[in-house]
Amino acid sequence: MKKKIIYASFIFLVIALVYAPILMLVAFSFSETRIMQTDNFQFGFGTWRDLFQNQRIMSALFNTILIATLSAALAVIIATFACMGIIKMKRRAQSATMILNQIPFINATIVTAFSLVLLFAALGIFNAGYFKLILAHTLICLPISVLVILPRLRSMDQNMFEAAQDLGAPPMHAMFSVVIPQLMPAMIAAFLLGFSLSLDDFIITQFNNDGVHTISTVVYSYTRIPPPRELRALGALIFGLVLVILIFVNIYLGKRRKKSEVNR
Amino acid sequence: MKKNKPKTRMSYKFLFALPFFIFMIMMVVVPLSLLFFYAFFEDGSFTFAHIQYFFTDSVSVRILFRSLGIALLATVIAILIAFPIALGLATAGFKRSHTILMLFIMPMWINLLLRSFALRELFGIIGVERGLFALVFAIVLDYLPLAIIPIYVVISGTSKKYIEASQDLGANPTQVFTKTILPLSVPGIMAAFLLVFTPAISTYFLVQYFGDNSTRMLGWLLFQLNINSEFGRASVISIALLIIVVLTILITNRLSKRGNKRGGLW
Amino acid sequence: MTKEAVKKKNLETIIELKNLVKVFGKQTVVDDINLKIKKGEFVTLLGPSGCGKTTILRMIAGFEMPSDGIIYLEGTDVTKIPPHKRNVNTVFQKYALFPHLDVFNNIAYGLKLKTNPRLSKAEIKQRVDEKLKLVGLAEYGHRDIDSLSGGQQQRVAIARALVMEPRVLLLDEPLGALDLKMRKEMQLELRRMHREIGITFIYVTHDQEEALTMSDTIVVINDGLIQQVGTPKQIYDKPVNAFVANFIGESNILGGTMLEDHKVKFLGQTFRCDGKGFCKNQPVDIVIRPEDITILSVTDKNAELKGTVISSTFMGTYYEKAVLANDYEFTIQSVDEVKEGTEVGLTIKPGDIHIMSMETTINEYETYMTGEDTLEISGVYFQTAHAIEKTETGDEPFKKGDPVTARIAFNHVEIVDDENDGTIGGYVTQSIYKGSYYNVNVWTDNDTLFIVNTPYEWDTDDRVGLIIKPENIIVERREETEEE
Repeated sequence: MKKKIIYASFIFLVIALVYAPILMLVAFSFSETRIMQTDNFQFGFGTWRDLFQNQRIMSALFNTILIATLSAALAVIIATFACMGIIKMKRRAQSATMILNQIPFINATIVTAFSLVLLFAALGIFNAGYFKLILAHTLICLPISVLVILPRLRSMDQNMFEAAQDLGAPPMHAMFSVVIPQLMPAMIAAFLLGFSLSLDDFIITQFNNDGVHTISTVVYSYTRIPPPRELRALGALIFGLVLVILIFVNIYLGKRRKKSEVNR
Repeated sequence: MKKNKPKTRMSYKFLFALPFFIFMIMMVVVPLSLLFFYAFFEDGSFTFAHIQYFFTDSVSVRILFRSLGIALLATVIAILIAFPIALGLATAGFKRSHTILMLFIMPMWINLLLRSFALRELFGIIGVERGLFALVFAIVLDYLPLAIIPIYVVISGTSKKYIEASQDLGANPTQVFTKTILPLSVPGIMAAFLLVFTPAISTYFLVQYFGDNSTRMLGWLLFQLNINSEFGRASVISIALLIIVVLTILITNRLSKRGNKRGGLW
Repeated sequence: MTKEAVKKKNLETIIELKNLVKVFGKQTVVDDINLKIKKGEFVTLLGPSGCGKTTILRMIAGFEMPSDGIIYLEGTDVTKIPPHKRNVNTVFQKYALFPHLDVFNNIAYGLKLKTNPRLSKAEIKQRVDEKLKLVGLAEYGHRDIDSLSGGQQQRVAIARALVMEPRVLLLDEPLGALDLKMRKEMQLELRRMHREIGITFIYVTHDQEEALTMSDTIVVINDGLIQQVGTPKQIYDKPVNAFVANFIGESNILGGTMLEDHKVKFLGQTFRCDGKGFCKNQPVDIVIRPEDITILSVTDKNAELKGTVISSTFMGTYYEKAVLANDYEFTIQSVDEVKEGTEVGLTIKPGDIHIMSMETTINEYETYMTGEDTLEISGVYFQTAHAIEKTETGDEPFKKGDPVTARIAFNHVEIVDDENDGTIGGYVTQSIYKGSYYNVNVWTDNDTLFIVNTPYEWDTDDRVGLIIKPENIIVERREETEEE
């Protein structure tokens, strides 16, 4: 029992440390002062108003979500087809492909970021921010998608695809009516993981964005100059969104668990 | 009896993976090759100039060792903090250990920069200056969840039977820890090391945000070189980072296997 | 065999496999299979794991492309047609039901895909309900797949295949995942369904009991080759070689020699048996079923063999005993319990001693050269293209009177309808269907046996002629034994 208390205190301490900055940010997003100061808390929604009026930040937010959605979706599609090809490969070809898939994982992101700079320079692609970013972020999302979808595909009964054809479905139709529904959970998980990886990226975006801003680059732009108070609201906003999503996911998972228990 | 090659009606399997291969070759293989190309060639001719620069220029050498030092320091601290947390969550029988784990993971979904922004503002209020302390603190705080998860997974995956067995054989709690739990958790520790060390040694943003002139690291150097379009030298730095990461993987892998084997009561 | 008879046989055939071969990498899994399956039959492909039976089934279904050979379905070459266009349906070993659809929609899946003609919702419902009733799951349409037991899932899989009204139903070890009781039940169910629907069933299994229970015809396969085709009784009573004898039921297999018709020698003793039509002193395999050996008192005069009981195990409905006699350990099954160590006598009815040809493939004759390149077999002169002998001093031709051994491979003898077209004539005394060929015994008037592998079916007592090309007669000098 004593052990538990010691652990609990330590954990609590660390959690407090981790959340202190964010929670403080949330608190001060409701303070209308120019900079965060403890001795002068002026409650108000000014920061939030400024946030929604700040074109730069809003468009960056929009870009971030747009790029994350497109890239994650693209990655899932490429990964799904890739996995279908991979499971039919011979062992050596499979391992080689998986190594290829892991390389972006292993690379430090800044190395990936810089190598892409070289790529786009060599190809002579300039001033194509969205295009470059979507390609780059798809690269971010792709390896994890393959890692998530492949085992799910492997554990699927191989015969199901054959059974569908046996019953008269041409291969394409069999794929969509039987295999994809089975893969859905993995595909959704891959999408979500890719989405969050894309959201979190800074350096790859910074190197290759040609002026297109995401949340990361916008915050970075205020490194050396005093940040506007809207950023506090931005931080609070993102935190709130993540919290809400997590709560919903937990409820949804809890419901599904209950449902499958009832069914037995 | 003639044997003709069967018509590959089944060759669509390769078509499926084709987009993947095209994409990966374009976005991974080609860029990496360019990296090596730029590192060793200047104006079309082979040269060691860039490598020379990397190993002889005092600034770059200092930065190299400094990066290794800071990253190592931050990683070790992170593991020292993560280990008790993971151990506690896995063994102390908390009712909602999963929820607590979730609490640690959630910040990872908030954009790294926003988190750092919050931290810096907090530092501002408290009065912590930019520098080594701020930098290491930031690295640890940002990548702590990455250290907790693998250790937790390994320890909680370790069958309780081992602990019970060693207790049954007469080990007191300290011995149970040092002789059984610790060795068995080495793979987790190694994974945690890799997951923290890699971003730590290659970070640019955190250096820029929390560091000062005395804490310039490899990532920062690479960034500067990129801005100045010094592709040759930047490529060398990139390759250096690549090698460091690969070495780390190999070392942690090795240690992971050996550590696992050294478990047992004696 | 007349042309009309051949045609008539073909009309009844629904599936024909011709020279079917499948190679995976370096392994030949299916090695030249020739098989005709009749309409409405319940045919079982039986063999041990890895013998190629499942691969054959998958090739018929269309999931594997043959490396060589042709598959005919109702006379049409379907070898290159993809599985979704073939009018056959498969029941898989692990059912392969679609988990995201309920029972009804699983069964209706194929029906909804039909385009000529398109089926209305009502029609689909009617057909699905019909099949649900047939498999005994009438009220289960709305159920989720994972709420069903293994046996129920299997029935859904069967219904799903049958509702498509295929010409042939393929079943790939469908009962493998069920427990024993369920398996026995389903075996009877399948038999019933087969009788009710009347379509051809092709069933794959490694369980010989299952095959014997359910099939009209059993095809025994090993190492990618057909060993024997026949009814369950034929396979059991008259196994054609040691493998089949061993695989089907328990058996005692011995090596021996056919001294003459109805007389076989093994374990140093002579026995009466039913076997005939073999070469004098031809080495053969003998199979005796454990239930065909009777244990007598050791002093009984009728006992042909004497031995000691090594072990006796109670198996529920009988005792299985191991008896060592003449250095051979017999397996005997009977209801009497005999104590270990007892000396006993054994007797076997002549009809229960089954003689099988050994797996030789060459006719051998000890004879003499009658000229530089001619020799005599069975009173007839044959020419050989191999009349050169390799000696230490070089190549030398044979001389008249040289003692030689003539070797003619089974598949190098050609049988012709008209005796006068052949070099020599004789009567067919035995014909064993081996799938890709018939193994036929032909006795000449001089009492010489020619064993021939021929692709055609010949009836016993047919008068035929034999043609052997000179290049197929291998000649080798032999040592004269003192008896000659």
